[in-house]
Amino acid sequence: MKCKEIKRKIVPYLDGELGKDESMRVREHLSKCRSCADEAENLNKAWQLFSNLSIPEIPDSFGEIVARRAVLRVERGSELSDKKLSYWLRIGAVLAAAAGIVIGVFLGSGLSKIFNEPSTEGVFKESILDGIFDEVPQDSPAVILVGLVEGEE
Amino acid sequence: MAGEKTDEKLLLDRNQREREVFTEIVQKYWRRIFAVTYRYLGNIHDAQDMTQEVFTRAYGAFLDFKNGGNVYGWLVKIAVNLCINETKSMRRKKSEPYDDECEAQMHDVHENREIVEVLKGVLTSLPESQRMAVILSKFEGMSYQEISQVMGKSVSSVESLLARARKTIAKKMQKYISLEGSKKDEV
Repeated sequence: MKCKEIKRKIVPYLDGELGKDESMRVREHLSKCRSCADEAENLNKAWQLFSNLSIPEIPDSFGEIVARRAVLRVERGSELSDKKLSYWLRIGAVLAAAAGIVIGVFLGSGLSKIFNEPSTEGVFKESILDGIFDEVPQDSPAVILVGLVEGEE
Repeated sequence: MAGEKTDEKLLLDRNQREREVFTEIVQKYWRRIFAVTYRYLGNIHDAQDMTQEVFTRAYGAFLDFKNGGNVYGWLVKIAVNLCINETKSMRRKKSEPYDDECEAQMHDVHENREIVEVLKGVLTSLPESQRMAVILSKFEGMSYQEISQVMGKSVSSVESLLARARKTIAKKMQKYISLEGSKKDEV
């Protein structure tokens, strides 16, 4: 193996990530090549310095606090989303009821006009039907149907 | 720890005693998760906030966690994702202070404070993915395969992240490597 290739393998070699054969080849090269051996040594020493990094001491009670807060936050979160959902469901129900009332009132007043004002019925019928069939052939199904209905009345 | 239940045993009761089992899981792993977040973020308060966030997310998905799964692997994966992706948004949020009794006491048992500060600086100056790969490899003792699973990267990506990180570290720590060498020579 050439130095360039070895240098790419030094870190996995130091980390014990190479296979047996590859690891042996790198070791052999390092035993003969001063430059690669120096690089491997530097990388290794720098890595070892990290052992100086300690973790601050945190009291055991931190774990209890973390657990308690996690449970509270998740349960409060789902409670809040349940509340939000029921709030919107209630709003939806109120809106639907209001819409129903408005439509009911509208339809009711419209129907009562139709059924309670007989004097205008004829006018309404005429105004709607006047001229509709003027340009339609007299033997068309629509005209025959209207004729039958009028005949019944 | 003697008498500590295995994760498998703990998880058996999960559906009946969700809170209690989760609390036991927190007690078992919070120190390791705190260590990862502390090394990654470089300060105690951010690390405490992040540890809290990791376990809050974990509790939110606790019932979905599959029996027989690696609990620590799952937690550290949450920590890695949060650390890498949400560092900025976490810093924008105002942190909730912990009880006074929980104020950590820095205890640098090492004589050479300077090296510790430089090492912390070197670690936090590494790009996010390199930093996390270093923490998982050096401090959590994970293999490239395990790191690749936790970080969601290929093994060759992990290898390249660590190679670049270690070269940067060696370059920045050159002065201290030489010092260590000369100390040994003096002895």
